[in-house]
Amino acid sequence: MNYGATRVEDFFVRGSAKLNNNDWILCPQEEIEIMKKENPGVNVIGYEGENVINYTKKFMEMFGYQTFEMGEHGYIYDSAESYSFIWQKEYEQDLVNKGIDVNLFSNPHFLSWEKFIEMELINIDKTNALYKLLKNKEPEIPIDEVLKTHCLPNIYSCKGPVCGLDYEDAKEQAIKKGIDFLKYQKQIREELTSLGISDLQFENRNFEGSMEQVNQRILENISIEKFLKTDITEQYEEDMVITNIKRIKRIKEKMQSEKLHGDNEAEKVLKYVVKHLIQDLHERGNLYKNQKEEEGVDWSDHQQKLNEMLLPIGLDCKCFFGDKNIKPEDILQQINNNDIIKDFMLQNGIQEVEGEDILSKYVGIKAKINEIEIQKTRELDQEAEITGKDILMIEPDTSYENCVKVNAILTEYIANELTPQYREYIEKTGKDWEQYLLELTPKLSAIGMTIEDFMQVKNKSNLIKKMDKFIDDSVEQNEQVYGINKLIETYQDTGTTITEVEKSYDVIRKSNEHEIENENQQIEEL
Amino acid sequence: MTDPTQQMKEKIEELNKKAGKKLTINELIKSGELSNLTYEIACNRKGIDKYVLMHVTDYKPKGDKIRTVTEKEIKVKEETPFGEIEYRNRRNTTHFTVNSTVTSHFFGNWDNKRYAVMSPLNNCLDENKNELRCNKSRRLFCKRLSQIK
Repeated sequence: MNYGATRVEDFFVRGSAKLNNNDWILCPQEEIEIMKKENPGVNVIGYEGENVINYTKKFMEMFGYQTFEMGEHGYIYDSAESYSFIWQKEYEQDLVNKGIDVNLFSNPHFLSWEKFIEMELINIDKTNALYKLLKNKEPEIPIDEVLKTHCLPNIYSCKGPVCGLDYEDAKEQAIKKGIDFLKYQKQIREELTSLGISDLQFENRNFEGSMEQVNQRILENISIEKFLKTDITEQYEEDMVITNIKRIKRIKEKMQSEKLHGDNEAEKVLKYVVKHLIQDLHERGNLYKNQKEEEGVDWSDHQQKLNEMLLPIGLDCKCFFGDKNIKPEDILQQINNNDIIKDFMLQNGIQEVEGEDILSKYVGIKAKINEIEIQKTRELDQEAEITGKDILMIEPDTSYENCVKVNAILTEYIANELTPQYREYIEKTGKDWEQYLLELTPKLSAIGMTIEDFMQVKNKSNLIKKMDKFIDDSVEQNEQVYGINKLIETYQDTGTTITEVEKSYDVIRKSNEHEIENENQQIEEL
Repeated sequence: MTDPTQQMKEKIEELNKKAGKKLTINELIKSGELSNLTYEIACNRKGIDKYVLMHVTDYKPKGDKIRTVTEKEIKVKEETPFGEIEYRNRRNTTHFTVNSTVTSHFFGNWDNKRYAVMSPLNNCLDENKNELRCNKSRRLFCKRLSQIK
């Protein structure tokens, strides 16, 4: 049994709820025997009358429990001094004392991952049912038109504002709760395939508009998805740099193989991806460098050693994020004590790394993860080729899924250390942290970043300035700010390698060096 | 101290034995035999032991579990401009209220349900403690910023 939420008015669990001999079933007295037979491990007690509702309160009170009147959003109370209000607060505190993160499990059902799944699947079922009805009953009705105008918009709308839950939010909830997101996506894709719409892209769900606009959007998404052939496994990639590099590589290959130069769709996708690449690469490389330099390590030597480890797995020092105040021994301790990582390392023959060098440990695990991923991808490719199946429909094995978990855990450890320090910095400037995040979120969304991405960027104030400019300026001007045009030109005209793209990024970064130094100075002064 | 739920269970079994049948809740309340124990237990309920989950339903629990509507394969019927369609109910969750009974609202009516299941919260939490591990800093990254403390 897994928790969905712990709210007093709607405590819910995923799937069925198992009962045991501490639980009680109340049923009509004439059904006691059969109820006991069907539930031998549970206590059964009968009641006289037509329905159970008159007995539930008495039954709880009989067992010494305090009971309250329930409203739609919690216990009914008149004021903050009301006993039921205080009691509800106590409930939350008692859960915290029990070690339960009430924030994590406090979603109402309508904002939960479970509701998200429910709505998506229901809409697909409805579409399917309607499709069958139309096919059997009214052959003269243009089925495709009905699907587009009545059904697909429903599928889209349910993924976003209608059930109040953002896709990324749902994904985050799912991963936090250890839900097999990959399996779920596969299920949805299979369902969609049964309707002949397997190429719909999941990310583009927050769209409200007229039917014509929705139709247009669907067609656009199908087109982009066909072009990109995005592997669903990339949804898990914790390092956006790698994801984007892979995407660029794939787009480039696709463009070459299908001679798509000058194709508007291709250019659109490429611009989008390169923009993200630039933002993600922003300043990550210097964080670890600062730390090492403070420790008196010769950075050139160290960088060379690191790159020897990183380059074979498609990374280099710039891809790392961390903080100069990081306490390696704390993180190392956490990693050593983590059961999932322990098991993963044991299964994959990764040796314990002596000392306090978190990066070595991290690199060791990342290297193995990458190795498994590459191997698995090859196997999937081969299987797809042999069987003729769509690669998205092939189920990856457990070792692959473990990679994903370990990746996520490692990312969290790093983020843990970074966040409180940045918050401290913001508060020192006299700003309210919560208000600050509220203001920041729409700006980040506008450039396709999440708060989490943002927290991994060191020079944040510099980025904020650029974001403001990004939003204010025209698209063309904005692209000039980031030097994207230059990158795209270089990339398209010369078939530049990824390393060269990164070099171009370095040029842009260096051009902002003076500005960045000023920012750093200001931060240090604060 | 003995588990209060166990104490009550033993007392009810003792009364059943004495009566030579399974007493209903109406009879147990009427007998007044449980009042002292109830009072004693109520005084000793502290911390997480104060909470109980209540679930009311029209569907019988089976095989020692409360099944979801998805598992029971309950279908939903809906009128469309093209005729009636029928599809699966995909609500694969089990819902409870804490120390209270659900009240009817816009999305449902629970006034005439036949069965109720009562489950001590602590019992439920202990079974699932491994599912509840989480990382506090992740909260900061939730989009529901109002939850940030």
